[in-house]
Amino acid sequence: MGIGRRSARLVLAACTGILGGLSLMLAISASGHDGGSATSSTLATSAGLPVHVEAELSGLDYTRQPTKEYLPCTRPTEPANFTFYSLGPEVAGMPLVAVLRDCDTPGKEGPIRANSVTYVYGVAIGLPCVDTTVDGEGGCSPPLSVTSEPLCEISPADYDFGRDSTNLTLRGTTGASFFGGSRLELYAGETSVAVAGSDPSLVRMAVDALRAEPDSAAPADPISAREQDGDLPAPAPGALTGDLPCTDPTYESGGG
Amino acid sequence: MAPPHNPSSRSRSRTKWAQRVLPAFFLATALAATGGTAASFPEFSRPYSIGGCDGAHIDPVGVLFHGDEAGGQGSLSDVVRHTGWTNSDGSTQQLRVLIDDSPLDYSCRDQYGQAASAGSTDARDHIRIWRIPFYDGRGVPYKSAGTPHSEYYDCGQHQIYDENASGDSGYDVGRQVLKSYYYPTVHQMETEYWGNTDPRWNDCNNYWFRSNGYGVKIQINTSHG
Repeated sequence: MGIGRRSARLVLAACTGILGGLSLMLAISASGHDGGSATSSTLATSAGLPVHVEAELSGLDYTRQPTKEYLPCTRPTEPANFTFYSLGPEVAGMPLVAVLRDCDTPGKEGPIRANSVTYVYGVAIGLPCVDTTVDGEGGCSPPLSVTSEPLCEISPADYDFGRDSTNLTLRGTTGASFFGGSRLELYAGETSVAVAGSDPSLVRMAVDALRAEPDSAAPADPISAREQDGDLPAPAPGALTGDLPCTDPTYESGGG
Repeated sequence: MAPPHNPSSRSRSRTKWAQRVLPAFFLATALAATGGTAASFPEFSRPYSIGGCDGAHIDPVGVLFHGDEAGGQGSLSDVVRHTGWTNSDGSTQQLRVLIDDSPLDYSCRDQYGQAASAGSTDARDHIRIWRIPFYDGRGVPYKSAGTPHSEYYDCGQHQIYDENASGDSGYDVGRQVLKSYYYPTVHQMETEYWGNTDPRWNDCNNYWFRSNGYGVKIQINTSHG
């Protein structure tokens, strides 16, 4: 099948506004085989804050039905077809600085593709990180990120590089530690949730703040300050062994 | 050839970059017949280089050289031989490399060396290489890890490229370019999913980028003539 979509990425950048208020800027970009054309618009959040949206959507195909191995990509501004998790507007004094929505073409280097929602937490509002010059290369790694991926596309049976331990119990569900604890994965329902950062103690602390975003929410939606106490759901049958088929709850087959 | 250094026109530089790397990408993709298998070897290093032994993550490890000639010097020489990357300018980073597997024990080490396709103020393909000191006693005595990437020069330092038209970051393209130089050769290559996909932020031009999480194992068992 000729899938015109390459990848879609949403970036939500938080920055301080006039009078110290918080404004949010959303930039959605995607590139397709045909080059794409840019569009932009300004939306208003439920809190009345301006949200600027930029998109290059030409050539993208967000309507194809799911296969056993892959879910169709959803737009950043519409609900994802899998549950995704965040740490809320801030965690341990670190604000949310970006939301990344990636959905890539399968099979470029192997069967595993990026299909994820990532919440990134920085050192301050509008400042993802500070260590921009120590290595002679530009850029820096944020202290914390939370990435959600559908377990029907990527399961813990697909990789083991750097896995320190398996069968951990984290927030009441199955988890695993990677790379000395700098990445903790939790398998909740049909979602793999990875909390990652350079400091393992910070990563472990962040696990306790994980919460599911509502099924009706889109990655581009603002998130509220609320907590989700208690256990996360147990992994769905077959989710840990790569035997969970992809089914899109929003896809209606048949009927034309 | 590397695109010219042009700090004032990043989009132009990136367009040329895409034109340059896309053929290499398609070649590497078409030839990656063994791609996509799950990792099944002992951990050899942490997944990211670091800036100082207590520093934050920097670049994802994207290649493992293994085999009789895959020590630090053997791997570096082989990369230079295949790619023609003779420039060795660049800063020094660290990586925690495996020194024992029972229990797992990693030691912070400076890079063994580096190779690049152009100088320290040019756009270029670049790799840093670390020797893995652990001898596993199972017929794979030497290993080295590398962090291949494609980068441009702006804001007074090198910057990893954002996604190109194929959705690949400078980490993905750097690895794919390296693979393209190794095919077809006597070397066995295996592409695996390693999962080192943590996002990274570019403060010079304000974008997020990351590896797609794949790495390649390249066997170096014999010296080239």
